[in-house]
Amino acid sequence: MNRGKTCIAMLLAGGQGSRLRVLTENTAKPAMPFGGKYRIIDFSLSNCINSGIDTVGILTQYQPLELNDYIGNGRPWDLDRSFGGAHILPPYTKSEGNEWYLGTANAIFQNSSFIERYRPTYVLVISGDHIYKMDYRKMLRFHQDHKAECTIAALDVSREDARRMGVLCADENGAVTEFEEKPKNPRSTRASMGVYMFTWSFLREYLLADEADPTSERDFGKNVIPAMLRDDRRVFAYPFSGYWKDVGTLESLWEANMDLLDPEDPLGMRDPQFKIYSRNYAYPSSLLTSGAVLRNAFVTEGCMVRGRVENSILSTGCTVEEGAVVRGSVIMPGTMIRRGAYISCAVVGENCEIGAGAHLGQSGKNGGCTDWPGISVLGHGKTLEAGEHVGAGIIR
Amino acid sequence: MPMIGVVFCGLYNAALDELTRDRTVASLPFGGRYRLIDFTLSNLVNSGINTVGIITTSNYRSLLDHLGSCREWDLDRKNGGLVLLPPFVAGQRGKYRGKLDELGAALTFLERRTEEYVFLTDTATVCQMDLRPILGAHAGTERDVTVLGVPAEKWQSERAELVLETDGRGTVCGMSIDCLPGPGSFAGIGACILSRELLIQAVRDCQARGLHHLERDFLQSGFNRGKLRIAVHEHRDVFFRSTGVAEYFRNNLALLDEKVMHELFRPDMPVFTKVRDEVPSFYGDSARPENCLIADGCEVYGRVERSVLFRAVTVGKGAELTSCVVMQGSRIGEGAVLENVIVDKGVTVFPHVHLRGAEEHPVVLRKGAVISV
Repeated sequence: MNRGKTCIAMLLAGGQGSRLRVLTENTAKPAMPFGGKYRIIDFSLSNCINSGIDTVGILTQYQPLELNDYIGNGRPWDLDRSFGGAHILPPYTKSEGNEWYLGTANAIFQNSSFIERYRPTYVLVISGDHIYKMDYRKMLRFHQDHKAECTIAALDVSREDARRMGVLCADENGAVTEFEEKPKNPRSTRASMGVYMFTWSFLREYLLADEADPTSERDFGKNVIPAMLRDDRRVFAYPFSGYWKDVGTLESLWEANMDLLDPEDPLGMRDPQFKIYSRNYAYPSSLLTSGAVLRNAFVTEGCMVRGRVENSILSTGCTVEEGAVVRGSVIMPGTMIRRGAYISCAVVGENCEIGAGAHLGQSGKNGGCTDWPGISVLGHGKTLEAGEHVGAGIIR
Repeated sequence: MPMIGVVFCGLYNAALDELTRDRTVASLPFGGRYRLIDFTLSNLVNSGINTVGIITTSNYRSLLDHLGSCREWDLDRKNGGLVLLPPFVAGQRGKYRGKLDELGAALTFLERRTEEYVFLTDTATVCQMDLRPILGAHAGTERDVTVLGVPAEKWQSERAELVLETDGRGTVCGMSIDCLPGPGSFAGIGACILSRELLIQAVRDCQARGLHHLERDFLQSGFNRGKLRIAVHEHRDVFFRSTGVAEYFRNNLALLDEKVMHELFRPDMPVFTKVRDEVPSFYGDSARPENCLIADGCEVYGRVERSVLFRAVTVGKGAELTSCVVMQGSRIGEGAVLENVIVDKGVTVFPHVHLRGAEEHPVVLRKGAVISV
C-alpha cells in the first residue's frame, strides 16, 4: 500500500474546440499556442503544481498526438515524479469492449482505477482550455471549512456570457441552490468556471449512479451536479474574482492574447511566485535589427525582427522582415512574415508563411479589431503568396 | 561515440577579474540567455558525447545552480551523463596550480570509463563545432594529440595560451606558450583530443614529478623531447574567445550581426541552457529598441541601441543604453544614460545616472551593485 495523496487533479483535455475552426483542425484546443510561448494547457498544469498538486491525470481524446508530445513526462511543469506526476489518460480497450469518453463524468468514471491508485480524499476536476491563475489550495480549504462534498468555483460574468455557461444560484452561506447549464434566461450572473473540487468517496457514489442511468448524458454540468442538488447534498460555490477567460472562440482567443499587453497585467503573468511553465525549445534571444520598431508588443525568444510590430504578440521563432507591418495581431510560433507584408487584426497560426507584400486583415483603422467584419484567421501551416490579399474577417 | 568530454570550468582569471569574482569562467553569462559552458556542453551533446566530466576548482556555486540535474542537455543519464568533479586535495597540498593538477581529481573518473578518447576543453570559446569528423581525422592517423586552433589572422586577442607552427599539412613543427601568434601560425582555442590512456599516463607522470601546467609540462615538453606527435585541426567557422573583459564585451556585441547569429545558432545544432520560465519580453509604447539582442522576461520602455539584454532586465522610460551588456535581473532607472557598460546581474541603476566607458575599456558594474547619482 502506498502513502496516498490528499488531493489529485483530473484535467479534461479532450475538447475539440470546434468554434476555433481552422486553428483546431489538427490539434486539440488545450495544445493551442497562447501568449507567445505558452499553450493553453500550461495554465491549468502550472496552477496544479503551484497549488502543491503533484498528481494530474490528463484525459485526452480528440487529436491527442500533439498534446501527448507536448506533455511528455511532465518535466516542464515539475510533474515528472516517481510517485504521482503527469499521466496521459486516453480512452482504452477493456475486456468488456472499448468505449470513447462519452462525457466529462464518464471520462472520470472510466479512470476510477487511476484515481484509486492514489487513494485521494479529494479530486479536483479542471479543464485544459481556460486562461487563469488560481491557487486551488484556497479552494480546497474552503471545501474543507464548509464540509462540502462538492465545491464549484464561480465567478461573476455578464448576462451575455452567462447564457453560454453553467449558471448557479447560492444562498448567503455559499450553498448552491440551483444549477443550470447554458440557460436562455439566466437567473443569476454567477457562472461555473469548470473547476470542481469533490470529496472522492462522494463523487464515486454519484458517478456509479450516473452510469446506471440510461438517460444521462454523462456530463457534470448537465447530469451529475443537478443530481447532487436534487439529493440536497452539500454543494458549495467558491467565489473567484481573478482573471479568467474561456478561449473557446476566435474572438476570445484574440482578446485574451491582447489582454497580455495591458500594462495593469490583469492575469499577473509577471508574478515570480506563481509562474506559468511551458515546454521550452532551444531558441536564442530575439534579434531586433536596426530599423525594427516595437510598440506595445510582447515578443518571445527566437524571433528576428526587422520590421514593425505594434500592439501584437510575436511567438517563439517568428521572423518579421524589413518593411513588414504587424498590427493588433497574434502571430503563433514559427511564422515567417516576408518583406513588405501587412497584417492587421489577425490571428496567424503556427508555421505560416506570409509572402512579400501580402495583405491580411483590416486595411485602415476603422474602430476596434473585433468590430464587424472582425479578425482574420490563418490556420496552421498556411501560406499567403506574395502580394496576395486576404480581407478582414476572413478565415482560412 | 568512443569519446568522453572533460571540461575545465576555469580558475580565477585575473583578466576577467570583475566578472569572475563570484563565479567560474564557465558560468559567465553570454549572449542574452546563455552561460559560456552552455556552448561547450551543447557541442559535446550535439556531437553524440554522453559522458562529460566537469572539473570545478572554486566559486562554483553559480555553476552548480546552472547545471542542476543537467536535464536541459540530456545529460541526466544512468550510464555516464554529467559527472561533477569537485576539488580533491590529497594530503592538504593546497590549491590547484594548473590543469594537470585539476585532472588529478579526475583520475578515477578517467580510469573507470572505457571510451578510447578524451576531448579536453575549457569554456572560454563560444563556437559551433561537430566533433565527429575531428575525431575521425584524429583516430585515422598516427598522431598523439589533435589541438583545435584558428589561423593567426583570425586571432583577435593579444596573446594566445598556445601557439603552433605547422608544416602546412597540419602537423605541428613548433610550439610556444603565452605569446602573440605570428603570421602563418595557429592559435589554440583551448581544446584538444587525445587517447584516454595517454592522458592518464601524463597526469600520473606529471604528478610524480610535481608538474602542473598542461600546455607547458605535457604538450610542449613532450613535443620538444620528440615524444608527442601533435596536429592542428583548423576551426573554420565563427568563434569567440573571451579571456579578458574587453574581449568578452566585444564578443557579446558581435552577436548583433545576423550572419553571426545564423552561424552560431543552427536548428540542427541547438544550444541548450537552463530553462527559467520567464514571460515573453514586453516593449512599451515608448520603447525604442534598435539593433539589439533581447532575452525573455525584459520590460523595455526606453531606448536600447547596439546592446545585449539578458533575462528579466528592466529599462525605464527615457533611459538610453548604447553598446551595453546588461545581465539578468538588472534594472535601469528612468532617464539613465549608459554607454559601453557591462552591467552584471541584479544591478540597480538609479534614474538619471550617467555612465560612459570606452569601447576597449567598458565600465563594469559588479553583481548586485546599486548605482545612484
